[in-house]
Amino acid sequence: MTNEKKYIKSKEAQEALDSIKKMEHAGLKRLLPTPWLSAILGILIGTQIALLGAEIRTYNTILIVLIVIMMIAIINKNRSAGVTERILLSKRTIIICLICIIPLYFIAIISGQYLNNHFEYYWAPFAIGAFVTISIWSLVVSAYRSYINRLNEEKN
Amino acid sequence: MKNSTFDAIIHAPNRLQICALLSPLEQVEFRVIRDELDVSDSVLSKHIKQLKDVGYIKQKISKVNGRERRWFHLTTKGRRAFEMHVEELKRIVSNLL
Repeated sequence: MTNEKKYIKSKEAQEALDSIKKMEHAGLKRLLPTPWLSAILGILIGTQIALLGAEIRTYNTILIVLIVIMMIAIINKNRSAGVTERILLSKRTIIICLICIIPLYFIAIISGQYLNNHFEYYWAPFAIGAFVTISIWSLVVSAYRSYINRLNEEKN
Repeated sequence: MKNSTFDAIIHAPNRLQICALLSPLEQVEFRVIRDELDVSDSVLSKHIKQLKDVGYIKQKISKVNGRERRWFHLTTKGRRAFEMHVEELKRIVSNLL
């Protein structure tokens, strides 16, 4: 490796730092997520939890198909942007998070069914579904805001 | 305390910009780097080859609709070298202020 020691002037160093900031900003700008696709995905998941909780299975297949279509749309949107996000979490942490999230999905459905059947709280599955949708929406908005804040920090 | 080392390979303007673009991201496609740097394919390929030769970046190829797409990412070695180079630039600027 030809990593020779070289001395440069302060002005050149400052210009290099400015160009680094500019490029980092450009990269992050391309990564800016669209909250709407994720929000629609949240609504679909919330609706599925609500309907399964209320034991209405008529629309289950179409909801699964729509969820898969939305997931593919989100992945394709990120790929077409030509950049992928740097995930700082380790693979193990991601697997642990997924292991925790999947049972939560079933717990939400089962609690809706339990409250509906045993206490006749017909509204309970829909309340749980709305809660899940709002939670996903909040997560998406907070991720979007954190990107905007990061972009503004880079700008300054 | 972070170490700072001037890296002549990274410091060349185009290569510095490539590393800066890759640093906050996981992977970046060839066309995106080319558009952001506003250089030709051949110029970019030359700089990428130099960074690849020293092990600072790696390439992954994916096929989308039969078309080959080249994605690049900073290696651990490259990320460390870039961070140390940025630290050195900051040190130069702060020392002479």
